[in-house]
Amino acid sequence: MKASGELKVEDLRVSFQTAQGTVRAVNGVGFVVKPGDVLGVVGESGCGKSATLRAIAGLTQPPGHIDGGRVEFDGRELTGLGRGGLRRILGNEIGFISQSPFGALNPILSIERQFRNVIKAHRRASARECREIALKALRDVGIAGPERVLDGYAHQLSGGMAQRVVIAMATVHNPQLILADEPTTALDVTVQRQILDLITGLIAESNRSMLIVTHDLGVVAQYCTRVLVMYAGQAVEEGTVDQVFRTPQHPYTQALLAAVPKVGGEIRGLQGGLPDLINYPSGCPYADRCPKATEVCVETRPPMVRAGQGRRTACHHAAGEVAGYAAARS
Amino acid sequence: MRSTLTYALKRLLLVPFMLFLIATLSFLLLALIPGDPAVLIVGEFADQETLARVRADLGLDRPFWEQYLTYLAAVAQADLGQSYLTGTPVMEEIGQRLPNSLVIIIPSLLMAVVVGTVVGTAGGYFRRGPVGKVTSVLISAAQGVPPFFLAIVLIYLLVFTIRMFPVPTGMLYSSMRPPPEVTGVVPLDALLAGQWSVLGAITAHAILPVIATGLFLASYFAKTVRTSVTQAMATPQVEFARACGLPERQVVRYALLTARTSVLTYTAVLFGVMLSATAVVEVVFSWPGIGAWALDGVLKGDLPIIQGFIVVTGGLVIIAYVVLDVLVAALDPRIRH
Repeated sequence: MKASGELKVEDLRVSFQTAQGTVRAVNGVGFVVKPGDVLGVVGESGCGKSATLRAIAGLTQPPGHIDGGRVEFDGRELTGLGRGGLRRILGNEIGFISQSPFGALNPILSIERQFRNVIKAHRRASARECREIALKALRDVGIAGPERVLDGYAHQLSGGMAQRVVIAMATVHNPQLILADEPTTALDVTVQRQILDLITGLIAESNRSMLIVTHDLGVVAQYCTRVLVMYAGQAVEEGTVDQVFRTPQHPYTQALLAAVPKVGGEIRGLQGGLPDLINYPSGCPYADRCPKATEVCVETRPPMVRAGQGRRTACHHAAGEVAGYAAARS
Repeated sequence: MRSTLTYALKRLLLVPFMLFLIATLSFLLLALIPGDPAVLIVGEFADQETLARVRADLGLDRPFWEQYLTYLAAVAQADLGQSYLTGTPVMEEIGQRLPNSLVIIIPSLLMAVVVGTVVGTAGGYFRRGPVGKVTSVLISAAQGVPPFFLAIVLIYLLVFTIRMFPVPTGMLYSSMRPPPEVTGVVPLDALLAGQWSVLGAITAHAILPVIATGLFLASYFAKTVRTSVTQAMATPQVEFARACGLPERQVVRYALLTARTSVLTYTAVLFGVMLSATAVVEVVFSWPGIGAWALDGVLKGDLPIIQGFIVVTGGLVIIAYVVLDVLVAALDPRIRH
């Protein structure tokens, strides 16, 4: 029996060395994913959501570097484990679903061979046992003719099928936690739903948990239990999907929700751009674009503060805004 | 598998056509190269009558197209003519010398593939660490030093200073009698006669030229493998392999799979290059190979030798490329299906 599998991230910091200077991609992000939770991490491109996900799984590649923070999974600290220790957890207790299935699958090895490698990485099994395990895993992700898929190669699959194969590989050892990096971005809209239904179905089945990185607020609203909004490498708001979508407290979250196009409504984009991640602002990173910014916002960075019932936000002006925003929207 | 076979047959059908093109090209050389072969054979001071007779013997007084057809017919029967200067049949000479060259070229290519893949993989995998820096310097050095220079250094150090290898005077020791002639190919004759001492001598003499050539060739493999592995390590494919908990050596193997095609391609290309480029190393080691012989033919303007060399090496390169194409197709499921 595998243990509970709670993921706890504290003050995570990731930077990238570039010719222009050090890009501070993740700046002190922290959150907890409890069993049964599906946490959606949202934010615009470059907000550090994917870098956060990679850092958790120890997949940060040079020039990226984890500067600090703790990642704790199931009571063990992952950041200090080293490649060998992490290897035993990845794919076994933590599954990873990547963005593009054709990027993830090996084009030269047969699907069966790849399954066998993944299975043998974590347990002893004969080639025949591996095939049985793989067939079952493929059936579990709704693939009708698993034998044919197993004998074939990645390029013979459709996008949706290939992503099902990736999911089957990532979950073949029944991991407690699944990390998904925009798992449907590369797929047709019609397939996106099926894949998301499939993933969330797998989660709900056995009280597992998931961290899903996405820029699609619709996906968060429909499939997540909790949401973490990131901006310029910082968490700015966290809470249940209901809380954050109904009564967003941070001005960035409010702008993000307002920017979701509605049928018949005009399209409202966000004004301005991300702050300079090399010369990171000392105050609130959103101050430049924020309509409510005052002097204090430019001078001191607002900490992430509890606002009751598991919700947190990082804004100097958050508290007073709740009622007003809710009233304006209704 | 069936489709690979059809593919192979299709490629093979192209070979005669390519050979025809090469034969045509080598014939056209006759028209392009200045000078009169007759003068080359009987000398500048021969009288007009002798010159005319020699020209008639060579068929040079015939119309151009007739000479062309005669040449094609001869090539089709594996007759590449005789050397202007020595009168020996070119085909026979090539048949005896080409295997000697292959004794250097094939082992040095194999050595280059192994050394290059190991060094290139290490360089690509550890590119940010000291290992990467060292391999980078090694690769540039090996690429910058021409094989003949390395050969001279090796001869000085290992032959004349520490006397580890025999003096570079051909394939055999000077005191050694060649094996009884059966095929004319010395290594093969030695094998047929069961003369292991002769084979041992050939091996001892071949080691230095193989190292000199192999290290140079290895730099090219190392470079392409390093680039492929460096790129592959940053792909989502390697990331997913790691995220599935695959052991690191398997992750590297995944990355290396992508380098396979370029290594094969380089093998075929460098094989073609070496057929003529081996000449300099052969000269340094007095190796009775095809390269040194052809170089001599070029310098003396011995046209049948030049033409014969072009046709035979050109044919070998074409065959190497066909083998390459078929191998690549057989190894890559995306082409195979």
